[in-house]
Amino acid sequence: MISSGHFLGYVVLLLKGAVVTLELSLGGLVIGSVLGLVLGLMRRSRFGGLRALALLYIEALRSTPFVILLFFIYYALPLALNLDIPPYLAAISALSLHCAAYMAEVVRSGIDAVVKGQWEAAYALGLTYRRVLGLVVLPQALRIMVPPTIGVYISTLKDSSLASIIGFVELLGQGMAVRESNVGRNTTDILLAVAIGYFIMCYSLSRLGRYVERRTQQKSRAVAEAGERLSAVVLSPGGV
Amino acid sequence: MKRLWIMVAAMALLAAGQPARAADSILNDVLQRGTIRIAVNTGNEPRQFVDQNGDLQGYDIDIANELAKQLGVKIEFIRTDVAGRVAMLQSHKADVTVATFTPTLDRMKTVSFTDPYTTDVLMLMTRTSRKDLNTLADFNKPEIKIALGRGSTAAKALAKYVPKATVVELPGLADIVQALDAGQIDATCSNDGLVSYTVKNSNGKYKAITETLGAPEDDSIGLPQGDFVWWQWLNQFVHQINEDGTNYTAWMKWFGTQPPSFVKPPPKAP
Amino acid sequence: MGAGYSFNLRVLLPYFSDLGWGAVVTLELSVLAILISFPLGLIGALMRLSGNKVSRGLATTYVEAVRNIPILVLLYILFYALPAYGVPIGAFTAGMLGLAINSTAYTTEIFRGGFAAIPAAQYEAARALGLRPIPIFLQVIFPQVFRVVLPTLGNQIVSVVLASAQASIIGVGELTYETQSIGSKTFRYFELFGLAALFYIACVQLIAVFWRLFTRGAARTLSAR
Repeated sequence: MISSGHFLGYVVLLLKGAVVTLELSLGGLVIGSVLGLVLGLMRRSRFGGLRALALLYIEALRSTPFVILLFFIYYALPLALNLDIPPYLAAISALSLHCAAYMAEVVRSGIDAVVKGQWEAAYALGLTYRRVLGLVVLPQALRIMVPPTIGVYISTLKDSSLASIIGFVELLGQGMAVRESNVGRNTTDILLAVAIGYFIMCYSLSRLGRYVERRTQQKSRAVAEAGERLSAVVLSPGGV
Repeated sequence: MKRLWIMVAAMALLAAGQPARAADSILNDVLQRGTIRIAVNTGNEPRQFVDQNGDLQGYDIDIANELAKQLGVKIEFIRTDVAGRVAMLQSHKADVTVATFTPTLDRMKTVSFTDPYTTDVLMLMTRTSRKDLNTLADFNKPEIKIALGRGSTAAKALAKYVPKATVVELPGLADIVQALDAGQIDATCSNDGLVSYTVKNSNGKYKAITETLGAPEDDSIGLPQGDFVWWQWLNQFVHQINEDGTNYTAWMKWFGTQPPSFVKPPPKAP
Repeated sequence: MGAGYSFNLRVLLPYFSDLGWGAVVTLELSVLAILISFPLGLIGALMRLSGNKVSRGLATTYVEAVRNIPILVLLYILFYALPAYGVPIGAFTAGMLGLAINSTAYTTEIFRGGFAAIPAAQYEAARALGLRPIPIFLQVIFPQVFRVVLPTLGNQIVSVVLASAQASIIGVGELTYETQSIGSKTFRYFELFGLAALFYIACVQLIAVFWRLFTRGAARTLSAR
C-alpha cells in the first residue's frame, strides 16, 4: 500500500475529484431537467407530431449505452461538424442528453400522477390549458417528481465516472492518475477509496431521496384529498 | 448566351485549378493570429510529457518551440491522445502536430507529413519477472497479450513481427501501465524513448526486449491535408534544423546518444 | 456534415466481420451475466425478507454497496486490483463478473418488490388451506411473484445489455471495443458509432417485444392455477 504520508495527500486529490464529479453531474442534471421538462410536456402534448418526436428521442437515448453517446459526441461529432469538443464539453453534453431522456419520463409520470379530478375542476373553473398546467397541475407534479429526480441524479453521478475515459479528470480519473504515477506499487487502496467516495455520495443522495419521498407522500396525500373535495364541490349539481 | 456559359465555366475551371494562394494557407492564418496550435501527446517521456509543475517538456516540445520561434508566433499546445493527432488535423483544430508522428500511407489518406526530423523504433517492454520472455519469438504466441494505445503504428508492427500474439487496446497510458502491473497483459509496445525511460525508472521491475520490432521508422511533423504552402514552409524548417545543428542539440539534450544520420551536428566554427 | 467530411460506409466493409464478432461477445457477456444474476437475485430477495438477522444484514449490505458504486469502478477493481492478490482473472471474466455482481443487486430488489406486492392474505389463505410451507411457496406465492416482476426483469435484461458496453474499457472485445478499434484505424467514427447505436437500439427493441410476448404467455399459464 502507499505509505500513509503520501496517502493523505492523495486523499486530498481524490476529494478534489469528488467535487468535480458532483459539479459535472449536477450540471448534467440541471440541463437535462430543463430539456426533460420540455420533452415530458411534449409527450403529453395535444399535437401528435410533438408526442412522436419526444418519444423517438426518449426511446433512442434509453436504448443506447451511455458510453456510445459519449464517444459519439467526443469522437464523431468533431469530425463531422468541424467543431472542437473538449472532454468537459463532451461529458456534460452526453450527461445532459442522457439525463433528459430519463427526466422526461419523470415529468410525464409526474403530470399523470396529478389526479384527473384536478384537471376537470380547474377547467370547470374556467381556466385555460396553460393556466391549468402552470397553476394547478405542475406545482403538484413537481412535488411528486422530486424523489425520482434524486434517483436520476444518482444515476447521472454514476455515469459521470465514464467521463474519465475521454480524459476528463473527475473522481475516478483522479484515482487512475494517482495509480498511474505510482505504478509498481500496490495502489488498491486508492481504488477502494474511489469506490467508497462514490458510495458515500450516492448513498447519501438515496437517503435524502427516501426522506423527501416520505415527506411528499404526506403532503401529496393532503393535497390530493383537498383536490378531490374541491372537484366534488365544483362538479356537483349545486355548483360553487 | 452559350458563349457566356462557356466563359463562366472556363473561369470556374481556372479558379478551381489555381494552387492554394498564400492567403488561403494555414501559414497565413497562423501569422495573422500570432499563435500556432500544436497537437501533442503526453505520457511519452522523454519526447512529450508533463513535469511535476504540470508543464509540457520533452524533445518534441523543444522542436515545437523552435518552430514557433522561427515563425515568430506564440504556441497553443493541444493535448490529445495517439488517435487524436490525426483527428485534430483533420478537423483543423490543430495547425500541426509534433508528436512522434510516423508517416504511413494509411494516414496520408487523411493528413500530410513533412520529411522526417528524427526516427523512433518500436520495442516491447515486459516485467523483469517474466524469465520466459526474452526474444521476439517468445511473444509470438496467442496467450501473450500485448497492449498499445489505439491508432499507433505499433498495431501494424505487431501484426508483422508477432502475428500470433493477442493485441489488447486500452483507453490510455494509465490503463496500460496498470494492466502491465497487474499482469493482465504481458507486454506493452511503444517507442524506444518511452521504453528506455520507463525501464530506467522502474527500479528493475520492467525490462526492454532488445530485439526491436523492425527498423527505425521516420517521425515527421504532421499537418492538415492539401495545404502546399504550409507544407513547403514546414518542410524547409525541418531541413534547416536538420542541417544547422538545432535538431542535433535538442536530441543530445534528451537522449544523450547519436541521432539518426540525417540529423547533422552544428557546423564547426571556422 | 461539415466541409470535407463525406459519409462513407464502403470503407468499413472489410471490418464488418469484426463488428459482427463484437456483437456476439456483447451478447455472450450479457447472457452469462443474466443467467448468473437472476437466480442469485431471487436468493438475495429471500435473504432480505428472511427472519434471520444475519442473512437480512448481509443481503442489504450487498445491495446498498453495489448499487451505489459505478459499474466501471467495480470492473476496475476486478480487473486491476484482484490480480494483485493472486486471483487470476482475465478481461472477459472480469467483465462478466462485474455485470453479474451489479445485476444481482438490482434483481434482488426487483424480486423483493415482487414478494412485497403479494397481499399477506395470500399467505394466510394458503396456510389455512393446510398447505405446507414449501408447496405454498412453489404453487401459490412464486407464480404470482413471477407474474408481477416479469416486466421489470425485462428492463433489467436491457440494463445489462447496455452496461456490457463498459466492458470495452478493460479490453473485452465486445461491440463498443471493436467500434473504437476500427474507428482509430479508419477515423470513420460517425458511421461506426452510428452503426453501434443502431445495433443496441435494435437489440433493446427486440428484447422488449419478445419479453412482452413472453410475459403475456407466462401470465396466462401462471394465472391458470
